[in-house]
Amino acid sequence: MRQYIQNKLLPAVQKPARYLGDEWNAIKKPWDGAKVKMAFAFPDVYEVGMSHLGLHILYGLVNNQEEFLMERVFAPWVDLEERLREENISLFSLESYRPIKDFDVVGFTLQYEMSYTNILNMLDLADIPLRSKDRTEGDPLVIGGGPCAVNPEPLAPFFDCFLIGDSEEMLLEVLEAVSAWKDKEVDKEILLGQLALIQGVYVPDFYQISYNQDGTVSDINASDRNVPDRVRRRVIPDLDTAYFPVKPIVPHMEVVHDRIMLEVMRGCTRGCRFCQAGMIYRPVRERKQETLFQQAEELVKNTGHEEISLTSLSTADYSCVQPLVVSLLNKYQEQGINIALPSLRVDSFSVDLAKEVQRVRKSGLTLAPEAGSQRLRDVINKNVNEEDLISAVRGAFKAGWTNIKLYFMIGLPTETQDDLLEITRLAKDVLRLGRDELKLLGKGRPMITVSVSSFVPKPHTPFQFEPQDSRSLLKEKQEFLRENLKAKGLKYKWHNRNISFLEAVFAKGDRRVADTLETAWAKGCKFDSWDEHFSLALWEKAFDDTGLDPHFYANRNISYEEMLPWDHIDTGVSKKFLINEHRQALKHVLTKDCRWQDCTGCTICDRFDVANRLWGEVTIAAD
Amino acid sequence: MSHLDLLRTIQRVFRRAQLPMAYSQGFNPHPKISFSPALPVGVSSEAEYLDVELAEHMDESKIKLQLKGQAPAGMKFLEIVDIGFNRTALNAEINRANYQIRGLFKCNREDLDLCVQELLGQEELMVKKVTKKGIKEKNIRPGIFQLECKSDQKGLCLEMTLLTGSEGNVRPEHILELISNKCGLIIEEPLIKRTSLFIDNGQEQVSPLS
Ligand code: SF4
Repeated sequence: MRQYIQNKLLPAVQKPARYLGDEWNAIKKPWDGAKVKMAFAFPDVYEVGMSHLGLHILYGLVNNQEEFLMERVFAPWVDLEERLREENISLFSLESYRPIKDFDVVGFTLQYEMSYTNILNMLDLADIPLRSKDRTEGDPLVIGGGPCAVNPEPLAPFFDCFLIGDSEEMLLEVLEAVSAWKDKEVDKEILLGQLALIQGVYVPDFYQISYNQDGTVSDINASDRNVPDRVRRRVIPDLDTAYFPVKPIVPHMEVVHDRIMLEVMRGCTRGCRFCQAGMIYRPVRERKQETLFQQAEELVKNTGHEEISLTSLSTADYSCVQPLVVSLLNKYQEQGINIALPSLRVDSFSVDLAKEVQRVRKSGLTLAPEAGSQRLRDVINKNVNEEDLISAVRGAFKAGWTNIKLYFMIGLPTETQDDLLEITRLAKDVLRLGRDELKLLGKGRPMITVSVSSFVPKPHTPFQFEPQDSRSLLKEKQEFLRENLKAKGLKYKWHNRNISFLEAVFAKGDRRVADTLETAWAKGCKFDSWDEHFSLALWEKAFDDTGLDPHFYANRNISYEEMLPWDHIDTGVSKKFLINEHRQALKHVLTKDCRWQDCTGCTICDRFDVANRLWGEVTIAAD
Repeated sequence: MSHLDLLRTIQRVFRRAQLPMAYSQGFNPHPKISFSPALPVGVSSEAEYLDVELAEHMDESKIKLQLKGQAPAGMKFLEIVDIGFNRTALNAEINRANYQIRGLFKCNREDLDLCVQELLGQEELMVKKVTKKGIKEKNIRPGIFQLECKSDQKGLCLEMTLLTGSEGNVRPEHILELISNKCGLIIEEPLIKRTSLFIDNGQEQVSPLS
């Protein structure tokens, strides 16, 4: 099969290197030597999927176990899909080129809502029935995990179970249960019952959802089963001792993040009220500097990469960031290995760090004030003031950067035209500052890119109660900004508002939108996050056909009392905390970062027996 | 694999092998590596050459030992030679490439031989080249030094010597295009292999390592 595909199909498709599967450090275990075989499925193309740290972690972790094996599969690009369908070839794994349906477990990672149609398409290409109720014992167990699993309902009918939270321990427990089940040759139902007892595992079939007349959820019922009423997210208390892969796969072709990813910490407690990652990965768990230094050494030796990226939700907040950066630079600069900091804060500390690691100002500098006015930044709890921004930008210009990218969101709760005007004013102030500073240096002209996305209310955040702006209002706002951001040296970029709208629907959707999803897929929707593939018309037809109103999900004010489709998923952050945060937002009251101040009461530490784990001296002020 | 992919891969192989590459000076140092003329995507090769400057002198045998087991599937280091510092870049020296094409020949040997004779008899062989500015016609006949049809136990194949490097580049696909356009002969699913690279200095043909 490998030969046939590589010789007959691949020469005719774009980027055949996506499908070769023989990259450096790829693991090819003997098929028959493993008792449980799992396919890690990434519902997007290779370049995107290979840039995802979670894949490398789980790939190394599972393949390290003697009795398990894991292989990879990505969404084939449309050209290969066409050939596979023409020739009736079932979707295959990259390592062994075996059909995906031969695996015991197929695990999809749920990174963004707009990849959902690709999941259905991949199942279909793999000849696996889409709905779990149509699958039999001979079909693989289809599981899902990742950030979107905190509201798994729109995908519930298609998955046997979801893994909620950190997978490092949980996945192995799941595979062990599958292994034990394989010995017994009993119903899948029994396996699912076992899985539901593992903390963090959610078996949607065991939970019945009922609805009120007005379409809201009236009840989520698991009472006739021996399963928890609420599924608790799995949290690894100590990241420092957690598994981390030091022999990740090195792709042949260029991928989105083509470098060593060193995970310095997990979780962020800054508490931005729109940010889902800032809620669902709590608490902050750091790795020790020594551990990271050692991992870096092995990673360099095993991959030969030319760049080490210090990844996390906000790396400048890592308590040992400065000494770590200095020691890595001392060791690797001479060997031509760069250090990258992908997530900067809006302050001069971050710019100074960036200055240290980026000796050539080749790429621009990205800063995310998120909102234009101080008032709105207080609403969203973005603990940044204009002085921070101006001093950061001034520092950047002085250090020789000419390209600055400013990232904003529109459609945030309570936003008015004044807030939008403040975006344009800020951008122009930055531009003016750049002109002055660069003139002094004799360095040419600044280029300021203003990149604007539309707010998408996400489940398990304080803003889950908020509606998304209607598309017509977003359009007006986008046009207003376009009109008012015209100047030499200013570039304005905005996101597709229709895609943001669907993202909102599926972020906050319930189990019923699964039908729409399947209908849309059947009509040809796929690669929806790719502008050139996205078709609003097909989606609109799918909503019509299934009789659902997308605005009900995206554009509705939700009361605090309403039962939400994801209320039975307990991320650790209590609903009471989210409600309180939402109230504070409307009062423009800031909530501090509990890493450096007192606990602010999200309740995870007590209830889940975890704590913020920082290793360094706290030298960085919170604000 | 594209030329850029190859360049990146080689650097990573050297780093894994813990060979101290020499870096260019300046703000954005990069390893001093130069390659023989780019291998077209989808073409396999039996011999490619690269110059690498190391930061310190190392014995050929030690380098070979450290490189062992560090190259990805399908890539192998065949020979390592110390060339000193006074050689010109490979890309500037190498100017000939030999290729072999196999595949499903939808024609017989006689027709193919005739076609080859006809092509070689021409003074001018125009092919279309897609450039950034649009499609251009180009005469590649001066860049075809040898073209021959052969058969062995594996069946028919085409062998050729073509111009490559800084003086210009004739691609084996051009030959397939001519065979199809001028003689109507088709070779399906062609597998193209670069069998060697060498230097024609006007008097003799020499290997890049000599
Ligand atoms: S429980 Fe308190 S200390 Fe722990 S993450 Fe939540 S707010 Fe922070």
